[in-house]
Amino acid sequence: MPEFAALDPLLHSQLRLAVMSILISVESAEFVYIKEQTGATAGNLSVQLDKLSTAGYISVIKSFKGKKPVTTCSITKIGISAFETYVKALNSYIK
Amino acid sequence: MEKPLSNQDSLILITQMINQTKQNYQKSSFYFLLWGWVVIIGDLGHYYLMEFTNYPYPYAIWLISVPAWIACAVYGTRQSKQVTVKTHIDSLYSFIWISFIFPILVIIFGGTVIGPYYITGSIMLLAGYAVIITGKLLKFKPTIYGGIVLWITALLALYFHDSTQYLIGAIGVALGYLVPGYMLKNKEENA
Repeated sequence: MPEFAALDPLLHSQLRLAVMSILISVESAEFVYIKEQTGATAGNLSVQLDKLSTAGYISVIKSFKGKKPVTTCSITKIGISAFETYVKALNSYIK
Repeated sequence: MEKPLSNQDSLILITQMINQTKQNYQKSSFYFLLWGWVVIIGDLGHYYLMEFTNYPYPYAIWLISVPAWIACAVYGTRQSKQVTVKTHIDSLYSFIWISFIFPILVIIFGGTVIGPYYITGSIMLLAGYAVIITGKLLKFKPTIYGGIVLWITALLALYFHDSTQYLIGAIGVALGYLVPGYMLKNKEENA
């Protein structure tokens, strides 16, 4: 019987996986952009971003554009590695 | 959004998000049109001042690039306030053109050393290189062909050691830079 790698529970969630998929394709994305692309509510997205940030998968930087507060997210090296491992595990399940 | 996720759903979601995001890069035709016109006016002005006037400083026409730099900085700042995502293509694109500035300054201010008639051709050779890479990044063939046109006209410009090189420069920039710039603008507006 082939051995299956366990799927990372932090990534195996629709919104968190969507966020990570966006961030792996770009250098950085603002909260507004991620919200638009995922269709999530601001509250839910904030909670999920916090979880990913606490795990060290993403970095969240708060700054200002003029007087407007801006939250910018980017994927970290740990996040890239976790995402790659997750995709590999997923492939092993599907094959 | 926290419904159970099947493995198949995961793959579909990943693919969908990546595809949705990767096509998202900043508009760049503004810079092509701005610098295209500035260089054409500069080249034609330089030619005119050399051929039809006795003005001792024909190269002073290139001072028109000062307001162009200011326009670039203002546009870039405004655009960065509007964008909510920065792709790797955006970063590379900026990097190519920012790293283009130093060699250009060396060529211009080193003009007395390398010979003033090598300035136009050398800048066009460098510009051709940056334009080709930009075209490849944007996956836009007219820009790649534009870069090749710049290289060919650069060779011609290097051959002429008189004011003719400025006419060749203007033609090269019109065909190799401005025309692809307008085509890019058209593509961006219809995207």
